[in-house]
Amino acid sequence: MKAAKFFLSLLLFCLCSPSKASAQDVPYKRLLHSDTEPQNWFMYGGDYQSKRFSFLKQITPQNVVNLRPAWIYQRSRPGEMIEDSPVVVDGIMYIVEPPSTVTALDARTGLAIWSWTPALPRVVKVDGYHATSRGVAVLDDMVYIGTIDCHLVALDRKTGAVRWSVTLGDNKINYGLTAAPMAIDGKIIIGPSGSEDGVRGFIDAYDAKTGKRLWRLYTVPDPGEPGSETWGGGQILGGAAWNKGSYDPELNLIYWGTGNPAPDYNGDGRPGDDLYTCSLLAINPDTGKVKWYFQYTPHDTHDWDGTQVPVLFNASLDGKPRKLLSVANRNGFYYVLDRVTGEFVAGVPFVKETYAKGLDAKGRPIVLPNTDPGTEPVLVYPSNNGGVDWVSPAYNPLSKTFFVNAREMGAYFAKSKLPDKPLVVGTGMVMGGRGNSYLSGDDSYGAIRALDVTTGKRKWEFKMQAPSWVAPLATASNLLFSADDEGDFFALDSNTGKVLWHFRTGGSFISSDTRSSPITYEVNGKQYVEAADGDTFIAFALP
Amino acid sequence: MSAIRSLAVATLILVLCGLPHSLLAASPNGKQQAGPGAQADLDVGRQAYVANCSRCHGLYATGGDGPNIQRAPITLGNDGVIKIIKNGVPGTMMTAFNLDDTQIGAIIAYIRSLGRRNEPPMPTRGDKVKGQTVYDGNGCAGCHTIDGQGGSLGPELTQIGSLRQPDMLRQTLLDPGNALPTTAPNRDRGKWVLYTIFRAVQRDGKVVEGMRVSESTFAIVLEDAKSNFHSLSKANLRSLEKEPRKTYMPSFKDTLSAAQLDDIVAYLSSLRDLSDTRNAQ
Repeated sequence: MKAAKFFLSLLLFCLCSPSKASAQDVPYKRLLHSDTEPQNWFMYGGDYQSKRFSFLKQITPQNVVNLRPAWIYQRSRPGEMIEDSPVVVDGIMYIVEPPSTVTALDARTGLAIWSWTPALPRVVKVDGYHATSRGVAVLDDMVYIGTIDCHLVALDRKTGAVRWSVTLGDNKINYGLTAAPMAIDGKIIIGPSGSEDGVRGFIDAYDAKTGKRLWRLYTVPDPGEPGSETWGGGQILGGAAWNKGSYDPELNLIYWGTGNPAPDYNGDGRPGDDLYTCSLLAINPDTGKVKWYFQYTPHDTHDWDGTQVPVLFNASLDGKPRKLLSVANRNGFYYVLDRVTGEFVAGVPFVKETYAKGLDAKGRPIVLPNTDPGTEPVLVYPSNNGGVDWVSPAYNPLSKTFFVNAREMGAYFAKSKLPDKPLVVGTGMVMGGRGNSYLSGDDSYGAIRALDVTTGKRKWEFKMQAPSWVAPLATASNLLFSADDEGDFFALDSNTGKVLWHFRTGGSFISSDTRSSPITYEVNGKQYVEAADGDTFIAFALP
Repeated sequence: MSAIRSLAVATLILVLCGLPHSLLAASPNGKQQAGPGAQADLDVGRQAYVANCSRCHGLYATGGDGPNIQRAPITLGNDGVIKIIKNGVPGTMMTAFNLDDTQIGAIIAYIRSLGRRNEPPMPTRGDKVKGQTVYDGNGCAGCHTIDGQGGSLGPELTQIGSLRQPDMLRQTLLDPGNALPTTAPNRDRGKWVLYTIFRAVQRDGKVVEGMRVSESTFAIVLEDAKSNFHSLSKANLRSLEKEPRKTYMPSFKDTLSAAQLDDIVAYLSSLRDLSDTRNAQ
């Protein structure tokens, strides 16, 4: 009987105190089953499918009007605008203050627990990207950050002490890290920025415990390698994989987008499709080998990186269950792909599109004439910032709705003469032209658009004053949070697009001031919604 | 004043006062001044400038995300500009550019062809002393400020001769609705037309008309013809319509004689005080 009591107690202890144990540790299993812990926001996109969706339901369309700031954390150092999407685990929020400072906050009060700032060189090269990091990853007892000078650093989750640090690429030639890393079973995966100086893109995997590099996948080939024939004998440059990917543990594939070829706006020196730039790669995370690829924009000359975060979902098509993924791409098209094979399933424009009249049966753009940058500027929609740039979408699996923050803006594209000599990587920007967004502000706007996930058909839209840089956040209570470019954070009814609540965080009429990705979490039974404006992190809750 | 400070002040002036698009479109590109050979160089320079520099510095070097650089070749010299283009400016968005010497030389020639703002006023047909009388006699000071005197509804004119050419000033006097100034172009948001008049009908039917001072997705602030500010929540509006080409500035097409027009243009062109008056004793 005594023994039975002991085992019952042990069983009860094991069943009832996971939070005690989990406060010490974030094993891969918890990340894998993140849906069962909606109080936490475990990673950049919320979960491995990158849904930016929460099952929390305390804040509803009925009571959201009562949402109030619970706390505000002001950045501790000046710099670029905040572009962070925080991670919350067991009541602790991990934020990134630009460029690469990691701070752990008490998620209930906003009080700082520890903060770590890398010793950066006096001059950090950031040609073509912002000196800001978009988030961290957590695994076991560590927090991982990619720094702006291109180091991947593992920090102790309790103290911020450095456990290990590795260099991915030379910042002197423009390699830098802005993406949040991906943490999977025993591995940390990340890719650097830098294509605007012509650096060769790659994706790396590291041993999460030791920092030992497990593999490196170059996103563009060496001369003579498969794919090099698509560069027409020209220099093979660019393809930086500078945003985060998604992960399917069952198929054991990660899905990662690649950036533009270089020079950006003049493709004369690289005739061909320029593989594997502006593409989605399905990669085996154990080996770093590509299972399949899909190129959104062959021979890109508009700076339309293909680095948008894909959303993984399952659906029935023609009566058959399918494993799919969808991407709202910078070139203005919404794509649905089979994530087992890479087969193109569907694709439609989600913004005004004058570059291509549509996609062919294989998903290749049917490019319209006079859309390549000219020696005189050529007006093309969307702009060089695209139908959407790096800002993630959200997906509500209950209503099967995909939400994208769409940019309705065109730009004048022009190309310039290329240098006569081969490019020396890292000696400066090699844009080969420019995409200038000089259309009147009144002729451009932003819109949160709700799309049917399998067809891309629009369900509703919510128009904003200007194109915005804020990801949507969807909840199971049918709310959709986001913010406009002037700094108004708002909640919409995710079934209709109707505005239910808004709060002004700051910003101005003529400048872009808000670039964050809101998240939601729960501490001590209270749901919070976090949103950052340019300079502060704000957590909202009901009274 | 240091060169950098001069540039900063000039940029600030532009941002505050706005520069009409039509003026930009009419800015000299060297065609009038240069011979055939030089013209070819300027075309090369213009293409290289548009492709490489205009995103930050504006199509006519008057500034955008980056500073106004129209006078950079004068204040820094060609070598100074070459150094900046080749090496960038550490700590700023100005990065090094991979351009050959021919292209850089053509870009500098093009920028020089634009740099007219601080040169002696272009000759005008009118008499600036008589022009001041025309200005005083036609109620202009009711809306515009010169040297601290006047109204606030329209743009301040203390430095207007440095900002706009005589032809543009003439066009503004004749057809002001077609010559509204804009904000400096912004990479993410484009440029915005200032002094745009909106007509807002509220839910109770009350109509508010005024110039847009500020606007967001949820609210707009209008300044009416009597300089009263109206803060309006868009949720409370039945309609909000832009009134294109409408302006509170009247056209002087039928009220001024040709000679009076020449005179007031001469007067406005003479207003070229670019000194930094903030610290003046």
